[in-house]
Amino acid sequence: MICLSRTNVDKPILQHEYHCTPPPGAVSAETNTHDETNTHNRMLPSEWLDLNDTAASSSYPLLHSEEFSTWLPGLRTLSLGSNNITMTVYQALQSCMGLQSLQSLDLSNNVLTGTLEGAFDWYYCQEDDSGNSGSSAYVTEALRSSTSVVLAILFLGSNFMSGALEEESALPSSLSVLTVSDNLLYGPVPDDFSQLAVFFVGE
Amino acid sequence: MVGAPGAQRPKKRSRNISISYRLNADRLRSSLAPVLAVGVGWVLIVARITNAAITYAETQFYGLEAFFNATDGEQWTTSSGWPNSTLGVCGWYGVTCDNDSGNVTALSLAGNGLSGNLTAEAVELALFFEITSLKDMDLSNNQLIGPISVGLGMMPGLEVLDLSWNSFSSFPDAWGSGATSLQQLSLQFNNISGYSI
Repeated sequence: MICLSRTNVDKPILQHEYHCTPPPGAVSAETNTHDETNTHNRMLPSEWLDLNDTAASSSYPLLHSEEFSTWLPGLRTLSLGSNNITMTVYQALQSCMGLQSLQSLDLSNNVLTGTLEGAFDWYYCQEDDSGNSGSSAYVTEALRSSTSVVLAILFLGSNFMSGALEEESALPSSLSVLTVSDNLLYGPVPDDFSQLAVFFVGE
Repeated sequence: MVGAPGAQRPKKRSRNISISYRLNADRLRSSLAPVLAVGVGWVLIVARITNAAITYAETQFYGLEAFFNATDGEQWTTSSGWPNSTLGVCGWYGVTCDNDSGNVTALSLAGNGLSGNLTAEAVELALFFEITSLKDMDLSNNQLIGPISVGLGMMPGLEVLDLSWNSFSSFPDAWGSGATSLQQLSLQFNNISGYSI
């Protein structure tokens, strides 16, 4: 699976290019940040794209989307609240990537850490037929709205997420209910979040 | 509705199941107890190719009986009817059947004192996971432990599975590859530490 980068076409002055971001803490082959146009390029190491590498597959299930494509194809509601799930919110959302029908995901009251920044970037990872690893293209807002992701309800309250709510976290356009209350988040609510019908961010 | 339970499907599968597998299973279990896993149970069933076959009604009976044993049925809060063969599974507490076919469609045993690990007694429990007419299973608010059974993720008729308020500890990797009809999975209030679906 190859990842496409995205551009926020509403704000051409400030461009953000994202490739599929590695889980926080992992080492990437190339890192190029803060060039003149303030782009952040985080390239996916080519060895992660080796689908025969079973060692990689155990660490990075994200990269083997075809293995997940037929599993639980009808699952609409997944409730995992009030468990002991300990991972970053990025990893938690990645792990559900193969659930094509998932509309409602409850991860509240767990031990999710990390920031919301880039947490939804995995939505924009798509098959690249050219097989050209590391290639990039611009994903427009139209494409963002047309992804097959149908996630509408996401409960992330009562976890340990930190940092500020990201200005361009690029919420999937399907998302209408998001709760992030009782975390360690701070800062103003981004304009992005106006698409949400219900948004809990107290405490 | 996604994935209608196929009445033909259990018939087709039972052609390959030998009626003698239970006797062999007893012998095998005593000598290979540590090795038994649901996977071994499947191998046993496939390896036994004879002319004898068990009916779907027998699959339901033996499977539910195995489920009763695996979850410490004697200690259930309510277990009226279990595992009486004369009464038939449709009369057992918590079992819902389709009136016309006698196929089990729902199992409702919430808050009933079920305990244990649903991967125990794995050889006979394999028949429980063959009850393809079962659409709705509610095992919430019990004392079930261990990893979530691989077999629960291999039931093609299952649409709603409620395992909330138990003590399940983990999701096996690649869980759910056979749960093609599953729409709703409830696992809140367990001890699950991670997952990669």
